[in-house]
Amino acid sequence: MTCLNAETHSMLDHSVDQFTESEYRFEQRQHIQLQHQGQAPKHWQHFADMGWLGIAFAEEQGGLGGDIADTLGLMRRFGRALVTEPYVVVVGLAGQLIAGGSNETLSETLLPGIICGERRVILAGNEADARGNPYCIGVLAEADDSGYRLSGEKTEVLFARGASELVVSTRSSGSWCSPEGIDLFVLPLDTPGVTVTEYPMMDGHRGANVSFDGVTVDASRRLTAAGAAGPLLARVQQGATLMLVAEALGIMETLLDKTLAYTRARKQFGVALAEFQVLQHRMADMYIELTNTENLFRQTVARVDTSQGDAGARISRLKARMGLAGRYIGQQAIQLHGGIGMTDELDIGHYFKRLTALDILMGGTEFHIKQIWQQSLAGPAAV
Amino acid sequence: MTDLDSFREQTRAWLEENCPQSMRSPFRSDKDVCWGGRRWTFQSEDQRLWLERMADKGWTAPDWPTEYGGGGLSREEHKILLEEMARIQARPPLNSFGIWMIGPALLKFGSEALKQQHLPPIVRGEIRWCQGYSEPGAGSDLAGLQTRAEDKGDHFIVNGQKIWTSYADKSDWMFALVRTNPDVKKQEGISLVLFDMETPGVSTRPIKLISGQSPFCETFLDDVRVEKDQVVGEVDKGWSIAKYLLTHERSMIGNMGSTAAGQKTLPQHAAEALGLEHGKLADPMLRAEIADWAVEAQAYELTAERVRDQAKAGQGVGNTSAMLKYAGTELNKRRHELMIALYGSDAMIWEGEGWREQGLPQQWARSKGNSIEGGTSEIQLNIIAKNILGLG
Repeated sequence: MTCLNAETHSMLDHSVDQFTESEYRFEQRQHIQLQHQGQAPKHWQHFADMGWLGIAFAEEQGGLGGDIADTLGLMRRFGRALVTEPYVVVVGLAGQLIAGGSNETLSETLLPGIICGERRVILAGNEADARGNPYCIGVLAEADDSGYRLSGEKTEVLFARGASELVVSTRSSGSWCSPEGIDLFVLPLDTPGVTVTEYPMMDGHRGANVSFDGVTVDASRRLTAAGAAGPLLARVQQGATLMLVAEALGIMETLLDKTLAYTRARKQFGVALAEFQVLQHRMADMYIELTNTENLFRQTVARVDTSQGDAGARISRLKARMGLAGRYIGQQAIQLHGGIGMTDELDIGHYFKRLTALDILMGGTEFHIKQIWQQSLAGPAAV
Repeated sequence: MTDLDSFREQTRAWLEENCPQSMRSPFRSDKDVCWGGRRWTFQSEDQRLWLERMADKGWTAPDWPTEYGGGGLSREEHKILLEEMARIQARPPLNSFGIWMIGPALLKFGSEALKQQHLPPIVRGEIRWCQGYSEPGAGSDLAGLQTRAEDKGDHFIVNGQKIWTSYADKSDWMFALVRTNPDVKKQEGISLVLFDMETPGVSTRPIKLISGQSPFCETFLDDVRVEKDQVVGEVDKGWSIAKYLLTHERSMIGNMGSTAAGQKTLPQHAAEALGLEHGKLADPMLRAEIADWAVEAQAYELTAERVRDQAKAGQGVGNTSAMLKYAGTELNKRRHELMIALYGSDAMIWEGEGWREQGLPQQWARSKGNSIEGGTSEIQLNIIAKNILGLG
């Protein structure tokens, strides 16, 4: 359920459209990727000035008083333009964890800076074999006299460059994937013992391995009661997954539009490709995949309350559907563009790579289908 | 002992003596492959020696006639040579579009003069060839090509543009389809011509793919002079030769789904990436998907083997190459989708130190081109429907 009214939504959508139309045409986007590693400082400031960074934060905290569902129009438009800025990581993940925790001192200190664009906080949650399960954590937090000592390694941490702090998910007790015994700490990236090794990812974004070696952190940097961060982590990941699906829908509808336009223009054998029945059926199938995903998305958004944490099964269904639709639509967009669809110069391949990354992030299709099995085994009421 | 047995014995002895140790292992990467040509820099003395020794015997082109430098081997002898090479994991000494594509076309359609001129340097790996077929406006509709060859008496002047030319920027000669007659039905005005890439007016530009750098190039032809004696077959009669060559190309691309010697199979990758539980792959969904794929792959391999046997028995491959190309490429794409799924978030890493599976997303991205290059899957299905099933 969204909190902001229709007029606010309309204004937000319009302002995002204006931004992408003037600042994020494909050539501009490529330039930002190459020259600024996907983060153009002036754009982030613009996001802050427009209030976009504050959409999902309470008014008392300096935000617009909306929630994650109110960011989805923006996310969709970001998908259409392949915006590379770290909105989901900073606002949807790190920001939501800080705002949703019980450490008021920390949220009062950090949130204003996040919302006004001065502070970029990212999340180091993923680990190599976690496969999208936020509870699978091997980075240890061992309590000692001065607080905690952190050790271990996070992988595919996004947007480390330009970030001031990170939120890291750690384990103080319990087995590897247990929902109990989890803590979240906020610490500066330049804390002694924190090593960041960056690398390029398939969609052009930059990821990093972040290792923690004898890192000491005070208990005042903990976001929740000791060992109790599991529910917050799961809830926030659910909300961020909705944001990724919205982005994916923006990509998929753009791919369909571009494929329709291309097959109408490109001629072989004396006729436009769009005249061939086989290709028409292919595009019809793309349309069906998109529409089914769209409708499941709307239903999920209407039924899910991202301030609660019980939407796991619904979100898994949506993410799995998105993954399957994305594979089909992305694949067919390339195929129907023929050889030029394979070139780096054309935008189609870049849309496809980002769509594939969205499938992998926060658990791939196979992971979410398994979640659905497990939920449905618990009985029809659970779904 | 039969003649074939003694051939095997001699071949085994010769290989033992002449194949350098460092050439007795599968290629670790594309960099290990020898393409030859005027500008080739050998990776090692061993690589050069291996090529030279095999070329001397004609074994870079084992079944070509000896008068053109080939090995002159019979089908059975060729099979024995390949078996003996596989036995010591001897790598092929030469990759060559000359051996795979234009050579067979010259043997079948070329004049004696052309065969004498071009085949021996191909066998020795001295000349590297590239193919000039597709154009920006002529992909699936290749016969619609527009590169124009104007008749100037004893030569042609060629103007136009080719695209998707593999290794054009590294090649010495090109075989190209050009339009010698614009006034007839499109298939009836095409010629297959040969020219040196150093001829004035020839320039190339590499094409970057979504998977990164690629061997593909654009080739620009501006008033390029092509001698009349460099036409393969007859003027205006190049289309049938082109189709013959396309069938060869199709078979090459279709074979990519098979696991090369020394490479891990998909189930092996899965066992490493996912781990085992009670002797089974730990992830039940991926286990089922991989089992599915493995069944398809095995069935495909058997079909491919049968088609190869038929070809060797002289029964011709023709339209079945369309089936192999279509099925093989779809299998290969699916294999890469599964590889991505196996490695979770690590599959997104484009480049990284110490990462266990280098090049995973690049190979995945590149595989999307398999169903487009060498004739799209849609074209292959048309061929099967029309030429095998007699429909439409």
